[in-house]
Amino acid sequence: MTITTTGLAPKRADELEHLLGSLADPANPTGATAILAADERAEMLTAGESLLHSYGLNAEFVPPELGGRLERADHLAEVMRSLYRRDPALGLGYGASSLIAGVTLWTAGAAPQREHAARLLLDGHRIAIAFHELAHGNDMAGTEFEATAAPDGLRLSGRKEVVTNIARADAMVVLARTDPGSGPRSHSLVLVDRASADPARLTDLPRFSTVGMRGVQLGGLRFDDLPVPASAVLGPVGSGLETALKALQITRTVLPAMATGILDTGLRLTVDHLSARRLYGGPATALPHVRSVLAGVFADLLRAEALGAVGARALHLVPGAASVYASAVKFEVSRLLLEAMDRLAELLGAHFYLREGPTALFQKLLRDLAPVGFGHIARAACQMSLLPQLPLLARRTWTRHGTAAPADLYALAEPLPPLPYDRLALHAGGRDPIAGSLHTLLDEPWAPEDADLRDAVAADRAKLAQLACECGQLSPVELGVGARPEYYDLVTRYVRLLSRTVCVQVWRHAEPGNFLADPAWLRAALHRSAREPHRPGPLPAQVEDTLLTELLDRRDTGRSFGLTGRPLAV
Amino acid sequence: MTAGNRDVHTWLTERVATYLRRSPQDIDTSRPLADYGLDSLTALAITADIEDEFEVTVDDALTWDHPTVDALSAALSGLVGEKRV
Ligand SMILES: Cc1cc2nc3c(=O)[nH]c(=O)nc-3n(C[C@H](O)[C@H](O)[C@H](O)COP(=O)(O)OP(=O)(O)OC[C@H]3O[C@@H](n4cnc5c(N)ncnc54)[C@H](O)[C@@H]3O)c2cc1C
Repeated sequence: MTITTTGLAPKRADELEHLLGSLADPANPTGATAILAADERAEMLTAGESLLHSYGLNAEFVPPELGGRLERADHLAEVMRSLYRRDPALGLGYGASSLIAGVTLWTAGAAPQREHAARLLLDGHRIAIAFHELAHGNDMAGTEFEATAAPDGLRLSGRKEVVTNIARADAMVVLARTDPGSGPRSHSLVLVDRASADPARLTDLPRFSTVGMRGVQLGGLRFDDLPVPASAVLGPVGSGLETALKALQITRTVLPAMATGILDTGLRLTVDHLSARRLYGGPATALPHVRSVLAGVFADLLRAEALGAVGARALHLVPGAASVYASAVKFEVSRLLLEAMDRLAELLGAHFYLREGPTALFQKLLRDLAPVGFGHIARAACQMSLLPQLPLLARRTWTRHGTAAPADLYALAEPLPPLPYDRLALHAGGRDPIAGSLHTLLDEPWAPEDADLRDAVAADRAKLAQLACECGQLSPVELGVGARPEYYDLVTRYVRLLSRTVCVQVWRHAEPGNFLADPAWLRAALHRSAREPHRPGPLPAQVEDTLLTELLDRRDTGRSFGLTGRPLAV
Repeated sequence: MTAGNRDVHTWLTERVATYLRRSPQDIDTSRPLADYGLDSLTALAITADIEDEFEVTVDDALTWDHPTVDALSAALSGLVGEKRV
């Protein structure tokens, strides 16, 4: 079955954008003024939550067969960007945390569990995802929270901490130890229904306060021998880590993809500010250095969204390889966003530091962005999860022609089959159709004026071969928790080649007439991701001009700066 | 290299020994691979080796459910035997 929704963005994304209204309008209850006031109070934006409630945002997180609108992961990211563009705390605190719980349920839940969860979400309730314990951070296998067998089911004991919405969620998915052993079959996911749970055995911990995402209700919960029925376990007992590693490939891909909305607004605020600002007798945007940074950030936003979009489409089309692509997206998109926002902050100068005035939203967006690098999974943990896959990728794909990906992987407007939750895998078994396409790309037709691009592809192919040589030598034993730091650089090199290939493919598959079919953005993307001892220098003049013209045109016509260039309610 | 008629158990022991840069005699095949430093994520690589060697397709979590050379061999012997006919 193929879903008929086509296009870079679904129609409903425009609807939501319109409902949320203008950021700049001080009278808009979901505009920047109200958002900043809620942030100062460390509260969720109430008007935003009730708007999303009546819009039925939660349906975005529920598969169609259960009554929701979660048809396409790339469309989900685009819809959610409307929130991240305004108030990332709404994005995470109203939405994304229920999505994380949702994907574990759609992946491993039995029919009654899935139906129950879908009903909760569609009725506007929340489901928290309680993995984290302060004592263990990213070390999921270190989880101490226990589920012990009892005659009538299980008893839950322990603490979960720094968990979004745990105090106000109607249900939660908890990662619990079901076996004292150390192996990967020692944990299970348990769906806990708060309404039917004995309140005497649950104690809410005080709220955690944070630097960014200040409105998000981060709480903790202590369980004292809480009885739950055996039917609360998702999938077989002992499958908790397996389910988490599979299902969270979806969220590790789409959460960073959503967060590009933050950079979109950051870029708009900066361009607005600097075009109005007069320095040395002209607008600040006339300064060559300013123009160069703006064009570079625009290019970085485009390549971040390209990688996010292809990663999201890979979940549908090549789910067996998504373990590699999800970690790559999380690692690279978060880096691009964090670095780009820092460069914009430099351009804004003192105005990025002000908590008032027309640029005040920037400092909040900068603080709210930070968890994209460490939340859900740390960037370094993504590197570690990719490391043991490298020798196999080298052997099975990088050194020879392998199976090509379906062309629709890169043709972003094409429809997608449903998300195949049951085909996500713990590892890709060395199959990497995206980087593998470097072998065939050179044989495809290239216009003479694109010879420089073809040369770049040829050079990348040689680099992939070199990387394959180095990785093929490694034993998996060296690539575990104790892996040497220099091996982490192998992952960085791989992800760079992967994301460059993604950009080339998105350009080749773009619809004629679309800006994505213009080689200027690809030249910029390749230039910015070139491997050099120092940071890449300024873009070639012609490329910079094309990008800046497009950037300013999108600003003047109120369109987004990402892949879709959609009209926004700015 | 093909396995020929070599026993799955012998092949697996040698494979693991190569990974550990030890000799096969030094591997206690009844001990969990994790004891030798093949933790849950790194042990997954063995499934691809098995697939390449015996031309079979195995479950991605095979090494999680059968965490020793002995257990893996037992789980594989049926599968590999079937494919060889
Ligand atoms: C806004 C927000 C919302 C959150 N919501 C939730 C939620 O809803 N549910 C939930 O369960 N949790 C939630 N969390 C918790 C979040 O997931 C944890 O903060 C995070 O995963 C814990 O890790 P840590 O940052 O303490 O890092 P640690 O794991 O303690 O890391 C310490 C250092 O070790 C490094 N490191 C860790 N692992 C590796 C590795 N494998 N290889 C190399 N280096 C490594 C890290 O990079 C870091 O430098 C939330 C946190 C925030 C800030």
